[in-house]
Amino acid sequence: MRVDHEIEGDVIVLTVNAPRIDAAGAVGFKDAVRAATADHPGRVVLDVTQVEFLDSSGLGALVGVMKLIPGRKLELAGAGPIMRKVLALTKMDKVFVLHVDRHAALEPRDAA
Amino acid sequence: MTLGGRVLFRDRFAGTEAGVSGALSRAQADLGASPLGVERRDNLVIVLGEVLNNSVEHGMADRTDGWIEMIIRMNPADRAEVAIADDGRPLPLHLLQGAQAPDVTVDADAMPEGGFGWFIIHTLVDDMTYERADGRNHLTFSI
Repeated sequence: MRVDHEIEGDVIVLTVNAPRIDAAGAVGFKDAVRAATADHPGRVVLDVTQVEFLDSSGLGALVGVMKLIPGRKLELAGAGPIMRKVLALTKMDKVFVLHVDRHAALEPRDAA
Repeated sequence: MTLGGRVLFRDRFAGTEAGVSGALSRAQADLGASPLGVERRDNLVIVLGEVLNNSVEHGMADRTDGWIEMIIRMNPADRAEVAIADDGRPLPLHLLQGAQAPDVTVDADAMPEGGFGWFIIHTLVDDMTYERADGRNHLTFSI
């Protein structure tokens, strides 16, 4: 899975270029994020605007990614309706930080 | 379940992660053009992902020659009725009775990375029937 990254100040923004984070793609997703965040000490924002589908395996991969960035919360920008629903059902919307979009994630003190 | 009504989607695909991923993409596209409401459609796609991936990961864990067949119909009450058959191992019956949500009020390093699937299914599905017949699993539910 292709995950692009950009550094904005102390924030790394990772763009997930895939319509699905699911059982078939979970391992590739986690590996791509691990490679991109390895030497980054600051906030980690995943721009998931293109992601139309998340299943429980993909959710597990997001938890795995959070464990790669100890002491920080994983931040998600632009989650669509299916991802928001899966996060809400499992109460993981209280564990990750959700932003309406990438722009909001980069605003100071945003926590949409 | 009556299993009457208009067919919204019908597919037969390999019982592999890639097979399921492809079928779900096609279902998501086809259901987008159906008269199902948006919320029902989203719930349906979420549940299908969990059910089908469970079949592959647990029912067909040691093989790649399995298959899955799925039919989705819309009943007169505008609900989606789903029938799924696969030739994997029998489904453990306790999974049909309900599932607890994993505890996510724990420290990050103890956060669960699995165990969400059947909780999600039972939260979104109202009725579910299961039968093992002719060496196949037959699961039906409506949303």
